Amino acid sequence: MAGIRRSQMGMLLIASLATVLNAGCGDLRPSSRGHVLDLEGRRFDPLEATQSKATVYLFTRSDCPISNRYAPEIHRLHEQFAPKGVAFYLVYPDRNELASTAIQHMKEYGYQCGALRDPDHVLVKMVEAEITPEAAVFISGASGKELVYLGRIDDRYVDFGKWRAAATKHDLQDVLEAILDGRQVPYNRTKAVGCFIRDLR
Amino acid sequence: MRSPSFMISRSLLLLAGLTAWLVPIGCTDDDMPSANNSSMVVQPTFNKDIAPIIFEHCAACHRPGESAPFSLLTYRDASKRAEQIAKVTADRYMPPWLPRPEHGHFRGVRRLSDEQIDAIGRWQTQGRQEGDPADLPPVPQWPQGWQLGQPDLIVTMDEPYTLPASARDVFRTFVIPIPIESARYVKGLELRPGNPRIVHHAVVEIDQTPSSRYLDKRDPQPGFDGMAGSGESQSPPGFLVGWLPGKTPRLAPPGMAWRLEKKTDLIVSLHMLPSGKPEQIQVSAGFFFTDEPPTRFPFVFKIGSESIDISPGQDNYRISDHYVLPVDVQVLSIYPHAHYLGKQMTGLATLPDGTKKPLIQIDDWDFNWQDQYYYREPIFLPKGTTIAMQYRYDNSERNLRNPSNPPHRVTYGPGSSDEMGDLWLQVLPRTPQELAVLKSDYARKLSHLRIGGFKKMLEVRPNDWHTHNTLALWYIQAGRIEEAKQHFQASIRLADDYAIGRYNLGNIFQLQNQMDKAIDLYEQAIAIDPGYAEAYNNLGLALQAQGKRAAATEQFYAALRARPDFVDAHCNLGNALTTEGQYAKAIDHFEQAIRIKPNFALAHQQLGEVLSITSHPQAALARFNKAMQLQPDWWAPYEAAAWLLATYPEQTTHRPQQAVRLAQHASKLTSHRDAAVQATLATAYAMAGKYDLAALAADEAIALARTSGNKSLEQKVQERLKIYHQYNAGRQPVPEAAQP
Repeated sequence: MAGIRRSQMGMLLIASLATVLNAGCGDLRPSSRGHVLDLEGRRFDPLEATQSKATVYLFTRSDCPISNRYAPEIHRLHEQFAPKGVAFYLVYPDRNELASTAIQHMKEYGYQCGALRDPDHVLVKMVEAEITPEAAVFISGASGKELVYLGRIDDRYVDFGKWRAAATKHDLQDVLEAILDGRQVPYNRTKAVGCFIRDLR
Repeated sequence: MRSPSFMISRSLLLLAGLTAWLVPIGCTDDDMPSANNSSMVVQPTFNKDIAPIIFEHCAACHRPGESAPFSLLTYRDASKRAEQIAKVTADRYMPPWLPRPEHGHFRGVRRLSDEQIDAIGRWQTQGRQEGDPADLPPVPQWPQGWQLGQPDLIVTMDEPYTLPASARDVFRTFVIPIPIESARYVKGLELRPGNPRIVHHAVVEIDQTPSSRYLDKRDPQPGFDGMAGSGESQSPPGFLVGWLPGKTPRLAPPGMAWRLEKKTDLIVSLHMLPSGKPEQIQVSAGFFFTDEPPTRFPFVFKIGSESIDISPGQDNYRISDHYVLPVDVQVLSIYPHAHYLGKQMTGLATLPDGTKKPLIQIDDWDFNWQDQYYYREPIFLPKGTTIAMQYRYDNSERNLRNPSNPPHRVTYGPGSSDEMGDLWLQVLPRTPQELAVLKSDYARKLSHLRIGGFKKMLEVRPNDWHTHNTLALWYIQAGRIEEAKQHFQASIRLADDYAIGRYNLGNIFQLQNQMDKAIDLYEQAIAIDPGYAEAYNNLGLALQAQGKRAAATEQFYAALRARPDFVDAHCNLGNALTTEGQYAKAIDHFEQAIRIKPNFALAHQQLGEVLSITSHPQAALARFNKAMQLQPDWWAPYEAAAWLLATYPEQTTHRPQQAVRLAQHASKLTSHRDAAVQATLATAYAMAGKYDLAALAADEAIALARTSGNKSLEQKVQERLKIYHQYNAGRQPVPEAAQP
């Protein structure tokens, strides 16, 4: 199976759940390590092919102030891109945040998009998300979804306690526009600033 | 052909930390402590090593209900943010503390030691162990609610303000009336933001005029935009009041309460940080009063520049300023202030003997964590000490906090995209007399600062008539009358309907004794604005100076029709009526003035004069005493009381010894340079039987009267002088009939 080791490929290749199932040693199977769930507790396959032109998974935490301050920007992007065929999901990676917490949080901040829980960090590990807020953007291919972007929403936050009055680069917006225009996405990875997902166990 | 299992991304996604990624994915269990841990000799635990640091330095804010966005009171709270805590402490972003150590010893230092930061870092990397519960210190107890105890008076915003969810920081100022029946001495003022998590910092001022209320009314939402009240609002006398997360409010040291007048508004400016959802905020303030009148009077002043002008891209713009202290002071606290372009700040005192005392040094200025720093021990700076400041600014794109992208030209101003460069100091002079010296010396310094600033503003907006007017007012303050005149004239030229400029230019001509020109300008101002009470009042004064008494009286009445509570007009009318012999009416207007403004020393003084004329010496003396109490550095009530006590025929009021003491004091307050005061001193000496001293004072009065062209006074004193010489030879008291 060495040929499939991603280290040797130098690129992230996630075609479908089946790919991940086959990758590495036997107990890599996500089924043995948990599932991504929707807020009703149903299993959710984040890589399943859909009609959407792009799917955005936004990692968030109800108790991460930087994530929360992005709520208005996420509303804006959702309103702009949802009608054009982009699906948006918030992803809650804190296993201590129950569905009820997530629902309450979405209500408080007025989120209109979909939401998922990733208590076992299946999606976190799959895309190597490290931060909340951080966006993973997939496009739909013939046999599943393909990750094309992982990183910040924009460059407003530069570090803890260092933020610009307004963003000068709107990375997530640029990526989505490129996908809709059929262009190559301008960047695949940017550094997000916010709370560390690693801190959640 | 594509393999069915893999799809080549159409764009390459480079992976960072790939090896690390591969290891945990199922081959090892990342929830298990690594084998290395057991071999570590000292492994910090939360209970033993981390909790004490957090409790002492973080938990004042990071606890439920306080300003920080999350709590850190428990192992679980801290563990789920371990890497974040390690990073922000290693970066010294948290706990927030800007001054560099060894440059001023301050109270409440929040800075962590290198050892503490290292312990947090090791705790995080070495498995964030919880440790033995027996090691956990008790969670500190903080006072609930008001930190200074139950306030004597609590004021709250009428209605809450709703902070929108928007991404940008919001700067807004709120006006809260203070309902007190009479003036009070304030020893403490504590602000409760109501919703501390969205308030980044607050500045508190007071406004004795309705002008901030006016700005509030013009804005349909509660409060108005910006981080400053109206131009009329100011810090409480001798104090700077601010609020910052985690800052403990302080009571003023004994004897240092400040006087709060009635009909004052509290002006609260908030820098708010939207949370991502709409938030309600309703600020309260608690006042702590004392009945002890102050005995020590601190003073706040700033040095810096108001002519800041930073071109776009400039990354090391510098300003500097200095001020030489005219008296000894103790520096109690210091408050450096700049906006988002500020990067580095130095404050330094150089004593007359050359010794240097660092006041403050900040290497990485952060507007968001500005604070007023209190010295552990007040710093004594003798008279002649030079206080100097130097700030540096970065207006390039590399300054991430730059509010403009691309950068643009930035000048001085209160808006967050303007810049400021102020170093404020709170100092305590030794005596009220030395405070007065400092105040008047500093007024000159401030006028230079302001003139520089407004000139710069005119460079940017040369046709702004209001700025011409304001600059002219500062020229007057600096005694530069001709320049003031030019700018008033410019303001009139630029705006046909600018009544204020005409009124002000009229005042200059009046000061220069050119009454016809003054009268013309006041009349123009009144034609533009028929409700201009001040213009009627000063027109009255100009007419009075021309000897047109009836016309003058008419204008004072007009001023009061325009504004019935105009105290100056009441007093001027009172004087006019006194001259006409209409004493009862005059007394009525002085009393009205005092009802409107009980602390108006001039009104008490003038009422005293009428009472003295109308043979009410005791009541007159009471008024003079009140005026002295209200304005101890003003000579007139001393002189008036001295004259009354020296010359009043009734035994109960004839106290020549006391008259001498009062007249001596009045003489000292005028630096022995006022002819009338020296004349009164001469009379007091004479009535006390000290004819030689009386003759000396009379000589001085004659010389001064001659210099100032006051012929009638010169003549009167000449006549009295003859009598003093006569009685000095005979050593007899002067008969009352010989006195005027």
